[in-house]
Amino acid sequence: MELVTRDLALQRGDRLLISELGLAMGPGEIWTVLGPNGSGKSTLLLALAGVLRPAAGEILLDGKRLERWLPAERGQRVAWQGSLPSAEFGFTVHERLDLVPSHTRKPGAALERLELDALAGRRLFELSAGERQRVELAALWLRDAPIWLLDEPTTHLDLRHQVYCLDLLREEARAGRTLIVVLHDLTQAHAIADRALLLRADESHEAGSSNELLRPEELERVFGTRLHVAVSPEGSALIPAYHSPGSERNTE
Amino acid sequence: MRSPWPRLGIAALFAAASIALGLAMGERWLDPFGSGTPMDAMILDTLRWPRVLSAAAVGALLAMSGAWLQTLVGNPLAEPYVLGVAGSGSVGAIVAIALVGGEIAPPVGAFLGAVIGTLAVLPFVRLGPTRLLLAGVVLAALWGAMVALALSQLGDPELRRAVQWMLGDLGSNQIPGWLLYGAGALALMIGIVFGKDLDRLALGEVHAATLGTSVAWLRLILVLLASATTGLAVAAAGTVGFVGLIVPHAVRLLIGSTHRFLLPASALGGAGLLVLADACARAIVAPAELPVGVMTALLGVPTFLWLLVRRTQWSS
Repeated sequence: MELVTRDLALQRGDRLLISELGLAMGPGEIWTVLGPNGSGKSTLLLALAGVLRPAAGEILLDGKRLERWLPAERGQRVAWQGSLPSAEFGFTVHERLDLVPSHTRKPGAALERLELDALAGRRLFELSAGERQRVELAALWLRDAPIWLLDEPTTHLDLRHQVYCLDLLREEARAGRTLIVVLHDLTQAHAIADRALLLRADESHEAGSSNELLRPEELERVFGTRLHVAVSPEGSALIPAYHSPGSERNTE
Repeated sequence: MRSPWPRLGIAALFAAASIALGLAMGERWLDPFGSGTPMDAMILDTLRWPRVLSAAAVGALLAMSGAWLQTLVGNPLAEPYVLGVAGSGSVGAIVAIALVGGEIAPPVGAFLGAVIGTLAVLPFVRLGPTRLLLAGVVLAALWGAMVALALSQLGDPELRRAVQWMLGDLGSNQIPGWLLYGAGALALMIGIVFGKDLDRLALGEVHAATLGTSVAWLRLILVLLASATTGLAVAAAGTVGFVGLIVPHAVRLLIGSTHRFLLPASALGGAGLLVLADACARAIVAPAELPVGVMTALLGVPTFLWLLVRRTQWSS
């Protein structure tokens, strides 16, 4: 299953966020979408999920325009994880997972996979944000959709579960799923993605292999902040150059 | 996992007990299960049964309507009158009382008014929950102003009749029972068929859409269902408050939130509450009657405030 965009333009209100975007995302690929606030990352995911109509251009799922798919059929092929759902109405974790269209995977296995067994009977509003985020990841895992759209999957998670989450994503991509992942942590992006899409604050963008695009010079331009590269035997990390108290504003 | 079935059974017991109590209570205490004089049997058959059953149907319709509207606007504090459908129904009923008169005028006027109110709110359905809620509140205010205008123009006997109707009046229901029960059963079935989609909508519109639910259609179905049930309830019994707000809320806390339990349990709870309120309204100052809308407020408001306080403890 392939997801393709052609000359895609996306708008929020009268603000143009993305224009002339042409991407082809295939099985087994992990794409990361990076960019400053308001550059259109979440908007792009909503458009790819079929929830938001493009201002121009088209999105093709398996060669067929996304809006031509019936919502239920589209829902079986494209899964989305984003902002936490409303907990106002008092659903339990188990009830929330029951709302996911799933054919092969079982809620019990999803609970186990995301280490939520003990919380199954709890109501969503009794959980912490990190626990609710894991419930959302379990809901995503439960869907056997070939394409997963993830909007900041590691947000709210503690360190161990951040690592756990990225391992899980890598494993799913190896099984042939297409993953499109919005991230703010450059090290995490570098760790899992093989393709990258950089969205700038204007409507321009750049797409390509993550090795080429996730370089410090490139990212410093996109985010407008200085970066450090930390190298260790197990890999490298890109860290924003935070100013610690007492240090000079300009190091190096 | 605790199962909601036993709790649904408790809701059914509550409704049944309320109905038995509603038959027994009144100007005179009667035994609803026979062993009375022929006179008692006649009072039961011709007066109390029809009244208790229409109270049950109206309560069920209002409670389900409240549950649907809460899901539609994504706010557990919404209620059946929030989109202005009852307000426009009141305008219709009062105009009918003023211009036509007679027993059948208020229900027919109310139903026509409710239809007009539904048509007025429909263009705003596609704008999403928040703006729909705002449009409903503003429209309800407009209908409220028109009610005030209409009342100010009424002469004395009509004014009394209109105020009695507005406070909720189960004693002069002109809507045939089969229509109320049939509509309630149909609405319940439609609601259960779409139960999973309604659950998804309760997570939020984007979540529902990405899970494969046709949100635009579902919104339209919900508005039509809620308006039809509210319109019918208002036509049968005037504007009875609080049932549609309190019952679904209590059911969510006590029984569960998934619509396939929420809707039948709300119907049972709404039926039980309104029958009970009406029985109290008839019995407390017998042979006179209190307005049933005042009774539901007296029973409902303290319960609701208590639930609200408990809820704050839960979510903070």
